[in-house]
Amino acid sequence: MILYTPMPLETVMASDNDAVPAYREVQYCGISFLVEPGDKGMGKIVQVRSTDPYVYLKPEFQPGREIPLFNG
Amino acid sequence: MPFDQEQEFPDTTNPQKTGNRKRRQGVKKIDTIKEYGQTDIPETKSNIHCLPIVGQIEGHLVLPPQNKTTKYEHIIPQLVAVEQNPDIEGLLVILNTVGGDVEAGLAIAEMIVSMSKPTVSLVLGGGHSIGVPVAVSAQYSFIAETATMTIHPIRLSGLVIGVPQTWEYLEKMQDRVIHFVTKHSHITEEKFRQLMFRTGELARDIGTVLLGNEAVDVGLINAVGGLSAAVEKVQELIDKQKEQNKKGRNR
Repeated sequence: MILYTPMPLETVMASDNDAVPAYREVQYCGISFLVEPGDKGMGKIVQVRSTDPYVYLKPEFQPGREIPLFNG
Repeated sequence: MPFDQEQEFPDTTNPQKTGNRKRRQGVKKIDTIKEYGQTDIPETKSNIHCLPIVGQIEGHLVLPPQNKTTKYEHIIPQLVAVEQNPDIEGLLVILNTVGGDVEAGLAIAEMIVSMSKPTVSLVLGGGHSIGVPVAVSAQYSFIAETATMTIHPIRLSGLVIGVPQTWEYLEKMQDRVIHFVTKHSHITEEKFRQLMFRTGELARDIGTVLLGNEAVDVGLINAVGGLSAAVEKVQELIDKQKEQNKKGRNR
């Protein structure tokens, strides 16, 4: 792999991952989310991954809201 | 089984289903979902979808978790969906990237370039290194006045063997990027190479940092502009394409 970036390679490859929480990718309502798993099978939305700009306007999909981790 | 009721949750991406009152009541039963279904927002659809490309473009290797990355396995199916979905008429690519994997960046750029729907790119903040081919891959490109693009040579990471083949391989990888950029923008190969190998501009490297209007002056980007200009341009290209399709049908 060739990394083509102005960022120093030491910065990119630094693996100080103690504080990094384990995020999970979840499909919900046909949209892909990056969530931080919590208890009761729910997870907090960290990132919304959609090309539809209106998905980002929905209050129920704002970062911090909880969505189920499993879809039945 | 707390999630049995989940089946009743309306598919909010499908506007036909969201009007269903019975299903809405089902939603309120799910007490674990906080404030779900409390607000009614009007269902509107965008005919323009936007693709944000942020942080490092991640390719064959998973980068350490402190990096903010755009993964090509996410982007590529999204591009296929945009191309295929009849409700989507245009694509706006928004870039604020520090570069990343050469092959992943080129793959995304090639996907965008080969789309039949109107595409416009907007560079905000930065569109560095492999972000350059992604930015020029759209039919029309914009750059914010304060945004920058860094053009510098590709470096080899990992094992470097001091033989001519190493140099040739690197040169080949670089040529892939240069050919793509010169083919899809107005910059000449000579000018691009000149910017790439300029000394005295970057503190840690050779190369050039182009500010918004400079990127336009060298022919890399089409125009300096912001969100409204970019959205207007997508709409203009959509209208133009519709007109052409109409003409084609009448013939």
